[in-house]
Amino acid sequence: MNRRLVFLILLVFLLASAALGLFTGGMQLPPGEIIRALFHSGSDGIAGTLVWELRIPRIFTAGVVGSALAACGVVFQAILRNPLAEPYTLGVSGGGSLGAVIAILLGISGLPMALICFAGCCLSIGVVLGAASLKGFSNSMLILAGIIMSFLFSSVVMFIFAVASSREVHSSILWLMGSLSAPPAGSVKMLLMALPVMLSLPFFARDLNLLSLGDEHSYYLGLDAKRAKTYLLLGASLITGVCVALSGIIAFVGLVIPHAVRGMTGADHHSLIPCSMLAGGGFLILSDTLSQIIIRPLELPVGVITGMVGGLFFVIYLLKARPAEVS
Amino acid sequence: MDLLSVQHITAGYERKSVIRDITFTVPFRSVMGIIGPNGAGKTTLFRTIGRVLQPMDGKILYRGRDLAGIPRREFARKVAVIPQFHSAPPPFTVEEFVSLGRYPHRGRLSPLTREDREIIAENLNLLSLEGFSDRKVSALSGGELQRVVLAQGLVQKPELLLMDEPTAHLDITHKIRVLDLVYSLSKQAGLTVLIILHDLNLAGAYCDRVLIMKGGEVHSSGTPGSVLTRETIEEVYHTPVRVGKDPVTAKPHIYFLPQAGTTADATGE
Repeated sequence: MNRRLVFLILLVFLLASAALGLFTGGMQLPPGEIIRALFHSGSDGIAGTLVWELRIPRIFTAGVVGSALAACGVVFQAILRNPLAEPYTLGVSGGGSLGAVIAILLGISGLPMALICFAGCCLSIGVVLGAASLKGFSNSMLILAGIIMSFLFSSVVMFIFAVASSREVHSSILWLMGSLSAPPAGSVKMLLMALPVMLSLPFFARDLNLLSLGDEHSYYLGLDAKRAKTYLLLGASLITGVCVALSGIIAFVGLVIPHAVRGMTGADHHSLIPCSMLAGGGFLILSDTLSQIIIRPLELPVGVITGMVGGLFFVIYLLKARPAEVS
Repeated sequence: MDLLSVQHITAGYERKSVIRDITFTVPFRSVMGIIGPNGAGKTTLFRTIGRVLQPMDGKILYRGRDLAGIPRREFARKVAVIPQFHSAPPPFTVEEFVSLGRYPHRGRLSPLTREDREIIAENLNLLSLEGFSDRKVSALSGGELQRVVLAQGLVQKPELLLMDEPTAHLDITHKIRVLDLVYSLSKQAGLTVLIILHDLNLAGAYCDRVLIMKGGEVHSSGTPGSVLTRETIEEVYHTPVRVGKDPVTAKPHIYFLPQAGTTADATGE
């Protein structure tokens, strides 16, 4: 398919999802009121609060988190040369969960909780990348270290569950499923910190193209594979850490979106990364909107939606795709 | 001065040396073959010259300059390395895949120029890959993939081409075509070639010089006529052979003497 066309279609998808998210949600208001509130940002009243303090920040967060997870998924799949790789493969989610569960246990919430969670992410990134750097950043070492750290952290989380009260366990589990419903105040600032790193990823398209051939081959083509890998793995892991800290562990976006987009654009990262960002952002905004209206007035964790939709899509995609296109 | 001068190189993995005290030179515009049994250290030598492996001792000079001091991208503009390509490549199209060979010549954000595209098209034609541009490399046969990888190396426009078993998966038509191409690039375009081959007769036919490795060391080197002798081959490969001369080219030709087919089978049906 023509790449410009794919880009345009996905851009329209993102904007349409954002519009849908603006007009529908947990609370129903007539479209006219929402439009009025949108163009009079100073206006008081329910519509103004709803649009400017709830829906727009939420759409923005969902869009950035979705884009970031999808872009990081592309990065991890290219570098690790593994179609199953995703942003959580290096154990970022394990450290994040532990941080979040500890925060919940201590009764900490809001921005401090996000920061403790992010610290947990950084801890696992540090251990995994540190261990792998001792072995020349080989892919098998990275993947193994990531899996081991995930297991270690989730064992500690299980231990905490075993001794914690059921209320704490329940709110921890809800957090672990991922939700955009209550991004802590100040979270936008954290997102803005991750944004430059995320927006730098498209500029590494060629490095990713080369790295996807394998370290040795990319070396022969003039790439300093180790340096490029270090920057990209560190950058993508930190972005993922910010996403985890703000919205929990949102399943499947980072795994499914890159595969779906690759089916449309091909493997060239010059189009794969920007298109995945658009698709991931649009998909998460849409999923988040669905999570608010399916069992209204209650809200589902968005991870439930992304997991179900993503899982179904993936099965269909895998059954339809020719073997050569899957990897 | 030679293009490449390998001086007393010792290299290997995890402090264990695989090749020891290797010394040889590759003259400008020559085709030099490296042959030797499995495990002789050919690929280790290849990877050391390709700089993915640090030598433990000795040095390699490129036009008299220490190879280790050449920046990576500059190196990739001078030397193209065609590794044995085993792993499944990502689903690039052939054109995308080959264009990655232009990376050392392009800035980070500059798109492919008209010149880049011409070079790519020209090399696809040279390897009879015209019409393959939009095919996925992940769906190619082993032999097609091997030619695509070679095309990627050629669009680097190198002075020195290193190839590790480039003809392993090729049928006889493409084997001859690829080696003819490499030979003519060397004689007409001034390319210098260092090539690992398993087929002794192809090495004899195409190489100006042959280096025989055994047990991590240089066993002997010289022109095919002086090196590919019955004594040497039997000593290195422990296989009985007879060596004749091609009646037209006068290059050595090796006849293998398998146990089967010597008696009853030879009388045939």
